[in-house]
Amino acid sequence: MNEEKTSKNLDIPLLLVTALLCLFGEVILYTVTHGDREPLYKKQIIWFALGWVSLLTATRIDYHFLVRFSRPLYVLNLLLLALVLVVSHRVNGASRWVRLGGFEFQPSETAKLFVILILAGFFTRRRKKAHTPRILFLSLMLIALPVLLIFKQPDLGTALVVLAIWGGMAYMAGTPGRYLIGLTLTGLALFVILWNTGHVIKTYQKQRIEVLLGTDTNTTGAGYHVTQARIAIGSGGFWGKGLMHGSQVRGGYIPEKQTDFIFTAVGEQLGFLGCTALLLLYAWLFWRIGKTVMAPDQDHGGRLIAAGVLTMIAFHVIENIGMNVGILPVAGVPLPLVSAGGSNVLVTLFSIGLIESIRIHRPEILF
Amino acid sequence: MNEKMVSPLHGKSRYSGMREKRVMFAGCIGAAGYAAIVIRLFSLQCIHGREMRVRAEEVCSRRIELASHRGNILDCKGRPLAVNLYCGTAGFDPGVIRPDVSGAQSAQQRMQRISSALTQTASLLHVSTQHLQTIVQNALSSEPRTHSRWVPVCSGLTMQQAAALKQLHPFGFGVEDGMERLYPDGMDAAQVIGFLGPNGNGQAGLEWGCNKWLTGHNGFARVEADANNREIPGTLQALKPARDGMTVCTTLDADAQRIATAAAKKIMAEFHPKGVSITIVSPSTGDIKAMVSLPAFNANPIAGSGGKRPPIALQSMQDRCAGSIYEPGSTIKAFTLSYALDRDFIAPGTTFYCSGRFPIGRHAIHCAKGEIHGVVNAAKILRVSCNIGAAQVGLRMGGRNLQEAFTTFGLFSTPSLPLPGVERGHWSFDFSAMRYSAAKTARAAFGQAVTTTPLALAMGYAALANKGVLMQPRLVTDLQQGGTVVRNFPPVQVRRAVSADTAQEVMQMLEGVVTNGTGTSAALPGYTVAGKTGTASLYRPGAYTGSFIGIVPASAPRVVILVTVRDPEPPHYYGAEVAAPAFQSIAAQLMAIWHVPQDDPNNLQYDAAQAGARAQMGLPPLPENKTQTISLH
Repeated sequence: MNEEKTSKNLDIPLLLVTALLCLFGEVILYTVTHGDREPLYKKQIIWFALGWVSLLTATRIDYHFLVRFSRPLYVLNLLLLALVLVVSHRVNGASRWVRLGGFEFQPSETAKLFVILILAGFFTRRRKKAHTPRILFLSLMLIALPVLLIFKQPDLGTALVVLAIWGGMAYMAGTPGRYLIGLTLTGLALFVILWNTGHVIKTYQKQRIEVLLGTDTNTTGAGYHVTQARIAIGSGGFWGKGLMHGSQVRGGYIPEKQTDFIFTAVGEQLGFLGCTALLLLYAWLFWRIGKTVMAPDQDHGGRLIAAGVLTMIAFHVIENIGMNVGILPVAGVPLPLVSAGGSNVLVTLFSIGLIESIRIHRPEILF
Repeated sequence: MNEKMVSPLHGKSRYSGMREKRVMFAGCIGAAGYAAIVIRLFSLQCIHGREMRVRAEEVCSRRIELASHRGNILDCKGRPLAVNLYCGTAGFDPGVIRPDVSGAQSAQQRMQRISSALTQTASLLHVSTQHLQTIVQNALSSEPRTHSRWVPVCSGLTMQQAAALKQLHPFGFGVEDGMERLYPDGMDAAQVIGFLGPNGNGQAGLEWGCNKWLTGHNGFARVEADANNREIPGTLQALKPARDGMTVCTTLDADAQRIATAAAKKIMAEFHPKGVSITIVSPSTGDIKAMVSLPAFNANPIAGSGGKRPPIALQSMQDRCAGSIYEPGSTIKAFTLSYALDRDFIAPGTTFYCSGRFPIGRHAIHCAKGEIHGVVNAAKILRVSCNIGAAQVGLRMGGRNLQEAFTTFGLFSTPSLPLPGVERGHWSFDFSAMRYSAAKTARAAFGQAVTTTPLALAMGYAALANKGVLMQPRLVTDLQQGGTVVRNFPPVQVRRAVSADTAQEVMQMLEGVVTNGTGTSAALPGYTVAGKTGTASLYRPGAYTGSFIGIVPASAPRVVILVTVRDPEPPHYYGAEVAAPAFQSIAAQLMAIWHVPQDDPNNLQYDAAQAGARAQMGLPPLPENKTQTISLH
């Protein structure tokens, strides 16, 4: 790898849009949490700094190397996920964090990354047979364990993210669409059966779906979050109430205002204009990553990783905003680079670094 | 991502073609998601934005009621007649038993906290723990059914107790602030001051009449509050400060009221009448100093009942001074004669003959006790209360003029007083040609077959005392807001009823009534009294209204006092017997507490009256040195 090639292939707009998103997120987080006793926006600056270090590090590392080492990392991550269930730090009734020497770490976030890497390796090695049901089944088995462990936490949102990543990557690897559709339908059927029988699906998760479907119209009960979020976003109008003037979010009517429901702060303070701007920023990010997926001179592994990253971020964005505006059921998924939360920032920025790495290390090295 | 990229360098391999399609397809799914979000955002923010903003304001704005206080009613010297007193109510919130209200604790912890709070509250409020426990247990057991969030446990808290409870803030217990209306003078002037209804509005008396001034206007503040109902500082959206009700300063004199009530009670105890009214007015201004009606009520709340007041009998609510009419009897003769003298129907020297029986129409008029007064002039008609003489004066004037005489003295006009049910007198309720018949006129001349209110009668006498000028009765002098006078009601002259000379003349005749006439029992040591007795028969045979009206001091009138005693138990029913002594006692006390200079320090009138009374009873006159005097400071 030489410097000339690095600078030539480095995707500067991708870095620019990432930086803009970080800035946007930091500003919004400031408006939401500046009055708190321990303002999260300060912590977030540190996370952003660490994230950018990890991004630049990832840019330097050859992604082939990472793919090769993905298996031990994946196993390590599985152990951590299992550990979370045993010794955990419970927040809001879910055990998602492990404390590693004063450092809170969320293994489900890194699981997304390692799933991307291990699937990339898996599909690349079986490129010729990627369209067979056997490979599809094996790849599904590969992610089944982390998905189940994450689901057990319970963290339905992240489990769905991992499934989405798998779906996106399998699709890009060449799995016939009918298999995926079939599997999706099977999954839905399974969900309905689970809904009506066992205790696998928690009551609150059922309520969230009921709220979305309009069968639960209780504005103070389970539907409270969704109704309040919708009111807050709607009250922003076209121009928004202006930064620092979000009465609904500031007044504490929005639960998880700094994480899952931070988009309400965008909607309330910046209005339709601000929301559209944020959506356009994300679209630009997707576009830059999508270019890597589409690049004709891209090797297969890089392409798959890029597709995985794209699916991951896009799923986050659409699910998060979708649940904020009330068109998707509530699942605890953060808004990338805007929601407070270190693990997610680190993983997102590192995966963007991966994209840069793919662009830089692309032509010579082939599997 | 939804861009179709075709590389010019690489040919379209099978995979690359498939890849393009797949990226396109995935891009379409993503774009669809995006489109759904944007449409939704557009709908929420641009189409329903305004509606959503209204809903948002509803969610976070809180209206805080700012309570106003009802104005006080004060007497002429600023002493309180009706005031507010703090009265808090302690209550329990059974909702704390629910985990979503009191936070995530176990049911056992909650019960433990409630029972410890219960002990604290009981000791603070000085109620038995057992009693409190019963209320709380009942509240808790009915909570799942009622979802009640407030069960009163103890009322009548003082401000200190309420503050202590608020500071202690026991789990589940709270205080509701309230105000109680108190009437420091109790039964005195009960009908005039009135009382409040359950909604806090005046129901009777001045509380009713001045309700619009006394009522304060509640204010409110609209602020933004967070989800925990805490006010967010600096978010005041609207503020309307509470405006307390105005203080009503009345002409009533608490002392006069108390003295009059005591005298009225004494009459009640002595003669067992159906009712007693005492009206005290100031002749120069028309100020009502006191109005007492018995039976009366006490509108103060029963101690420890939490603002409940004893039931008030309907009959005790009757204002017998301004709100009820009666046939005044002989007291009206002063108006007949003063008008006749003033308009020259008669001269002071004009004489009439009283034979003891004066037939008119199918009936005959008699004088009281069957007396025969012989030749009488105006002064004697008043002094001995000669009905036949008065009837002849009336007949000489004619019915219409007699009616005019009474109208001039304001007997038939409704005074503008802020009291409910203020009445006026009537010449007749009969609208036929008989209105001015000879019988009617003759009877009306001495106060039968004609009605008025005690207040109007007193005001008429006040006009005589006020050099012939009739004043409007006044009950409210000022309205004050926050210590400053916002409205003043000056005394109002109605008209000149008779000339000052005539008034002076009649005043002297009325003095004669007390000196050596029917009203000797009203004579007052140290002061000259001008007065008139009255004994009107009611429709029931043997039932009378005895009354006495007096002006004291006669030389420089300060006060007019009318005492009416309705239907006392026989044998005592003459005004001189049942009402005059009460007048005398009230007048003596008022003169003393008002420091009125004596105008008859040698007791000329009093001694004459005493002597006359003794002579009437056949007793020898008292020796000179044993004359009873009252020394005044």
